[in-house]
Amino acid sequence: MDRAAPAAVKTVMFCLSTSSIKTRVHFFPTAGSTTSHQPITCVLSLFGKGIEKRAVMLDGGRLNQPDGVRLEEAFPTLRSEASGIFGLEIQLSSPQGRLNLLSSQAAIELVSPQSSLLYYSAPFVPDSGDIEAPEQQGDVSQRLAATRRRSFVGVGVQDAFLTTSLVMVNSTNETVRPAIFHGVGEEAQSLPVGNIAPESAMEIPLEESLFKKTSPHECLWGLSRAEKISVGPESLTPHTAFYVMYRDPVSKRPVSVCAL
Amino acid sequence: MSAVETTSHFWVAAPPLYSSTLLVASGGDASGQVRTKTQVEIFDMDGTQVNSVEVEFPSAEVGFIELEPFTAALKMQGGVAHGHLKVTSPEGARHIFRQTIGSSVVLYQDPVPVASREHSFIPVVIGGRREHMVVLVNGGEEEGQIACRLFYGNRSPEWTLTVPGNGSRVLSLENELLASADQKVWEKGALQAYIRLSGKHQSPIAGHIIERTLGESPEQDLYRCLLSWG
Repeated sequence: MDRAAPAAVKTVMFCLSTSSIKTRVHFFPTAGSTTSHQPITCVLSLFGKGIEKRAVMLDGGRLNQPDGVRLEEAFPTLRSEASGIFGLEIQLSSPQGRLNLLSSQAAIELVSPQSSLLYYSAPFVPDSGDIEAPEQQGDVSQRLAATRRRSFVGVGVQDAFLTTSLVMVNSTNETVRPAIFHGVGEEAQSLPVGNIAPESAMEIPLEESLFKKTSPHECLWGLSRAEKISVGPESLTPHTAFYVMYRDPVSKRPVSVCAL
Repeated sequence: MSAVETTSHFWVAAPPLYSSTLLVASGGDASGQVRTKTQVEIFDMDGTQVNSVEVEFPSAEVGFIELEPFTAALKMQGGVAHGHLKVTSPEGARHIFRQTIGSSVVLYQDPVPVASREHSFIPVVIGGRREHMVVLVNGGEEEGQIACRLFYGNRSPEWTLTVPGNGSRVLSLENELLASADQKVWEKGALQAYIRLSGKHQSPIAGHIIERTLGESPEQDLYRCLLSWG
């Protein structure tokens, strides 16, 4: 038992539910060098436009054992009523005492008949609202979190094979106005993304005009333009998440997702 | 190069099936620097450096580095000429890897390597016209070992895999790893499974899965790259 460990950890992600795209949620509760298989409680909270925030507790989770669920099984409303982009909060805790679950990992798989993509969550944080985690030298979660804290940077790409969107998720019950920038250094400009409504997820395509000022690169696959996208550090809280999503410009299907 | 650096480790493979480009976005504090220097090193599967180049580009731009010219010296193993790409840029930079596999395109950030007593996981669906290649990259200079456990159904066989310092290894999940398991329940249909990678040495090892979904012809095969927490 680790008395310094947070009682629960969480991460915020997004999912898609359409007639052709379904979501699978995967999670891996782990506590560094702890090798036991004690029970782990996983609570999924779904929120977004058209649905009230609702939570489901999953039974059967075990420490150090990956697990997952089809989101429609956890939230049957996705089968019929709701469609679009949704926010998903994944909370992990140990009912048998405090474990440092900060190195846990989660992944979302967007499954379509043609192809599927898998992306990983931003690092888990304590569910107390305090983003500072207990320090653990050498722990993989600490290294990743430290890297991400230094670099809230992504890359927007536009060419014949990819377009880019910014996905913003707000799991709080308050409106959030994020500071998003494009470009680098003194030439960085604010990206007018507006507000994120309470308990919602939104996808904002990066318009062609955003890439007009960037020099095109002559690549093996043709001309490609790329622009740096960054999130102001003050906009990053344990309750918000930002992802860059790349789509096929013709079919519009998602191709890749990177966490900011 | 600055005292504090961003270093990433990727798996790189040679044409004709694979084509890779590295995108480098300088960090948030790049305003004082006019140009960004990025060091690119390529090691073959045994960890021998076969190429090293320093690339400089304006900090205000996203740098593009096409890797095909640097992969000619990579050695074949497991049917692929492959190796380890080590990228070092000033602190705060973000490295994004664009990989074309057959007709599929994927972008990903650097996978997080696991060292001693650390774990990562990769969801996979086995069976159902899918084939998987387990890819391991050792970001350290010493030889490293990693425990690879596959959870499927009520089974969880484990293998210990060794990767040379700075090197890389590929293994077929179905033909090399699962072929040694004592039953073939996974062959009957698509089955959700999970790979868990656990570091056994201090050498940090990153894992990927290259998934191939068989089409009606090889040209119609679909590929995707599944990272261990990238």
